[in-house]
Amino acid sequence: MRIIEYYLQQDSWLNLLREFLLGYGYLAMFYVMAVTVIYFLIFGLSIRHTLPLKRGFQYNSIKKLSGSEHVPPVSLLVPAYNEELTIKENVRSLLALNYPEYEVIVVNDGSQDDTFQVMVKEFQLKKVSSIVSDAIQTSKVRGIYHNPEYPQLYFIDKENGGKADALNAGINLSHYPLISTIDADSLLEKDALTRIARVYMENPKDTVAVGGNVRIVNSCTVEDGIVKHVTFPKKLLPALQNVEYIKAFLGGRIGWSAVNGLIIVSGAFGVFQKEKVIAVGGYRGGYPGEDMNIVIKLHRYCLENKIPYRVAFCPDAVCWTQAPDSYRILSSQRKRWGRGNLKNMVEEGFAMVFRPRYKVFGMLTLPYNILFETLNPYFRISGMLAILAYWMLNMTEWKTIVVFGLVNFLSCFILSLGALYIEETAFSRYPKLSDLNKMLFYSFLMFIGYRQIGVLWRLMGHIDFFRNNNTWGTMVRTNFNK
Amino acid sequence: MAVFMRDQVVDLNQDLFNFVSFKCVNGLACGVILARCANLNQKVLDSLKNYMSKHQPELSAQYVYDDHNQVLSILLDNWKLSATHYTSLILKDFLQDHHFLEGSIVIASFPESGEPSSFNLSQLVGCVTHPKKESKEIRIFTDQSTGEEIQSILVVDTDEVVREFVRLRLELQGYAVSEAKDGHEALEKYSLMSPDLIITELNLPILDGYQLMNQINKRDSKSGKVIVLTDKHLSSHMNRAFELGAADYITKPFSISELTWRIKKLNA
Repeated sequence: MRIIEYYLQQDSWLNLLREFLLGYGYLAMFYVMAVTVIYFLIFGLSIRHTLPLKRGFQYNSIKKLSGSEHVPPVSLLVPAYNEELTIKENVRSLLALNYPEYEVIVVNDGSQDDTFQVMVKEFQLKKVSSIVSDAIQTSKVRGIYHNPEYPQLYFIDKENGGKADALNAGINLSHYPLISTIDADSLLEKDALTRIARVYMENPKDTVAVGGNVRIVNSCTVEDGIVKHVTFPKKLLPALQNVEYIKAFLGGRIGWSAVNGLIIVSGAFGVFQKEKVIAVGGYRGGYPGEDMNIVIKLHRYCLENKIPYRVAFCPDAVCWTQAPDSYRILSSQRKRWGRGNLKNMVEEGFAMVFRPRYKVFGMLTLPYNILFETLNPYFRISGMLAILAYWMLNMTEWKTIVVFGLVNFLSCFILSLGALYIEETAFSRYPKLSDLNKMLFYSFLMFIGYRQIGVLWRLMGHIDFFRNNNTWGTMVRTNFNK
Repeated sequence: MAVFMRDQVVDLNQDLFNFVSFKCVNGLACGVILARCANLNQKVLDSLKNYMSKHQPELSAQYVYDDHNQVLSILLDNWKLSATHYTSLILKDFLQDHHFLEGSIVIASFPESGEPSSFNLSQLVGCVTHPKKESKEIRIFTDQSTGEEIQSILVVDTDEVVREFVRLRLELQGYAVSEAKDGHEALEKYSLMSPDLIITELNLPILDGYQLMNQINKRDSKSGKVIVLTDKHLSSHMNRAFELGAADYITKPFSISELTWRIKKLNA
């Protein structure tokens, strides 16, 4: 052994490698420390704002607001592509929201199934010639349908152009100054809009976007489009995604919104000022990740034009969505997210990052997102290779690696626990003790396999991006009650 | 023309209901004359029958005397209200001449005088057996169920708590209350029970409150009354509800005394 080492030391390029690996080791350590500091900073902000938020929605009489004339009218935009199974139930539930004045605009994005027929038959819609603004260019609109029996419901039938294009067509028809985007496979809670409107009304001029909280509906009982009984997902993948969502939304977005650095308003449910969305040119078509893209553009537009603004998050406004429950569909979703994220960073992020002009967004949010989200797979993989090399070159011993691993794991696990703490103190949607145990269990289980494979999916998404593979991937819809 | 003797008022109600609804289902009018008379017997009934057919040869009628309640009822085949009224004048002559008449005579013809429901018919019988004033005159029966007293109420709301609260409080006031959780169920219950009053939220799944009112208006020209009890405070909602024929509009949070007071006001 000594002899081999001796010979190795003789080799000059190996020395160089060692130097390099040592340098990389320092870099990686700073990287991990930086990301941990940011995590804890954001998480601290989340915790810090939980109590005020809780007070906010406890002492507000949401019931009274839901009929009040002081609440701004909202246009709900529901893009639908091949949604024949869920569209009927979804629209019915949207028509019965507790909100004083709103309209529901369903956009059929050239579906290949019977979405169009289902809608026209169910609501007895007739073609109307409506005045539509041409604020944003979209694919050809085949017709606008309406039934005076359902005065708040509009149905746009257009040629396929993607989700962003469908949203733009909805914006063109919308009659109200606020728009809200809702996925056709999601269910809004009846007072979700009112809760978002409450946040909006705190500062109507500056609030350009408010995001809602997305929760996972798998295994819950749904009746008439209303979630009747909340049950923790029974299958493995939805359960893992559930704790992941709780961590991301409660542990992350509350904190980011506190420093006005929120980079994404979930496409499943968010409210925007229509005027600002039109000012930035509407949704970008042709690529996934349009929900992050619009928020980045809003930040950029407001910062460049020195418009005071905020992007808020409203954790008590809940939208229930179906999480993919098979490996294939989940991987395709995550690859799409990875691809969309990279596209957004290339298109917008790199131009704004580390420029003081863009304030918190440019100095904290974007560096965090680029370094620790977008580039995360590369650091992880190179880190794994480096550890392998350290071990082979005898630069470390297993104890050090284990200690590093444990510290890293513990710090991440504490964050998960913190998110659960926020969930339990402020929202408590899963009040049963057995559900809490399950959440703890799955928070732990996330570290074994799930997170690693998530990194892999993101990397594969990047590969798709570089190979110019621009498809939406598979998403299979099922009825809400299985 | 058979002549029956009965001694139970329940049977009288039942017989009336069977006969009248049978005629009405077949699309024929059915005249009813009820008169309070004492001490009628088979012989008098026979002579009455002869007297009547002498004056109105085309008359086809059934004569029933309820001994217990002392009510003479005459059921007239395919007789409109005007014809029934004329017949009752002849009857009154006969009864007064022989001093049989004890109280008032009440006439009706279904479906002109209202739905031939068992409720309406028992109201009709009640007019004779328990008259509000003692006088020997002919009175024309008017439909009680849509006109005056509210007896049955349908509460439509998605919120279980609201439904139960309203139901319990209204039941204490003596109303018969049923519940529906959405517009569709409400419509089903409406056609099944035809309640006198519907208290509805506007914001309902499947069919909303407006559509519910619209459907009710379409089904029934005499339309059951509707009180809207809703979270919606906007004047546009209120306007639309009143345009669709709502009798009253109450916004949540509401006081139950206000609600009962408004129901009573509808009664007046």
